[in-house]
Amino acid sequence: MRAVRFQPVFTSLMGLAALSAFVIPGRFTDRAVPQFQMLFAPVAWPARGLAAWATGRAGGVDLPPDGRPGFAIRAENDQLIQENIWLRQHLEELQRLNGEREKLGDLRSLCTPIKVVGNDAGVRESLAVAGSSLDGMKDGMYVVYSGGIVGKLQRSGVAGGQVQLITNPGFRFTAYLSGPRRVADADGATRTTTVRLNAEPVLVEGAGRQRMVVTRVKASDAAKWGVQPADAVVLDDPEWPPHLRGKTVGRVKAVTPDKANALFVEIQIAPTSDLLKLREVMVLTKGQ
Amino acid sequence: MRRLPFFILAYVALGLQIGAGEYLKWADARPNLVLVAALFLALYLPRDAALLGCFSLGLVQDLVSQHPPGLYALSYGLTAMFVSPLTHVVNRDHPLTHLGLAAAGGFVTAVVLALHAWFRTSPGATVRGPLAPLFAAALYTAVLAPAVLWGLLRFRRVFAFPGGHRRGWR
Repeated sequence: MRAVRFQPVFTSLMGLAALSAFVIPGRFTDRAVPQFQMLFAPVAWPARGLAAWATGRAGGVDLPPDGRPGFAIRAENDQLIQENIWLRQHLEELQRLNGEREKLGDLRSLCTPIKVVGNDAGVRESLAVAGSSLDGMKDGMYVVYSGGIVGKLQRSGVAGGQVQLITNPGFRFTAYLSGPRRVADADGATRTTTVRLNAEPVLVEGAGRQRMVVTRVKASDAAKWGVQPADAVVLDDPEWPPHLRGKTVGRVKAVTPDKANALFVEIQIAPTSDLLKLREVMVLTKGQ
Repeated sequence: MRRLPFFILAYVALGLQIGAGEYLKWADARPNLVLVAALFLALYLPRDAALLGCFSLGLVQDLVSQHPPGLYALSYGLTAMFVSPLTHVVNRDHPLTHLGLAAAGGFVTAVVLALHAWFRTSPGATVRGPLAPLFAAALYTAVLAPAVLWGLLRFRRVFAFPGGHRRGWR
């Protein structure tokens, strides 16, 4: 194309891109965006597996010493050993998978497992998943895993979807704090039991970097509640399904003074596991 | 330039970014392999094709991320507008050129993302996402760029880049 005709076209495209990114509300652009994360699975899945292996494991498999004579018997032994290792590995993987799903308890019957293809291609905290709208996945469905809440399904399409994590900036919900404390029985004996620390739920917001925060908490309230690191943060939001209320979303990491106002504190929360490294999640497809 | 290698390059870059991007992270900074692919196009394609190719690459990245469509398209379009005129005055094959231009492209992308994060937070939200990792990612990508581009240059013949006087695609 000549510069005279190409320049206006490219300028228009850039203008449209800027408009879509900065001006048009997301609820309009999200509808127009096709989802095809699964199309990249042939590259993303092996890359993710290889990277996970490289960062998480060390050492290889040693073949046992073979004292039997004969090249043919040795070759047969090698083949049988390889098959045995392959079968054992897959059995362990299936047992691990089943164990993870068992931890969901009653929720398991309401959920559909879907594989995680990868992470957000940009810098947001989200997971690209292989769940398709043809399998019943819809925008707004809640996503969990064995350790608690993952987030919400967004932009689900025929070829994949995106799960917005609870740690993504802008994600908000209400929750209460809970932790083990020594309480006195009626007969005067003290015992350790898990107690709810705050009667009124607090607003928890995603803050990126695999963290959530509770802001605008008076220092006096935090002292009264006795919030400590490792206390659990439990979902208590009327907008969420009843099945999920009472689920743990994370643990208190630290309680720090608010830099803007010394009378307030900020409660830093971390999810139970690194949500960005999950290989499978469960979508609550029933009971919403 | 042949179209098929371009599509393969885009597909592999995006697949690797989605699959392994999180595991390549270093101190909250995730490298942007797609930006390096865009830089490759901006360096070796004629201007018009480079602008359109980089814009398209960014648009596809927007469609497989949680960002609104147009954010990375705008970023890579601006990067190509900056890089393309410089290809006549720099040594396109030199690693320092790759490092510098990747840093510049990463900075442009980080600024666009930071502006979006600053002005387009969710309604009512009081917490904005951290901005420092965006710029750290730009530096990290710049450090990786010479190695990645060195690998891509081994396959330069596959792409059949046209000479400087040609302007379009084949």
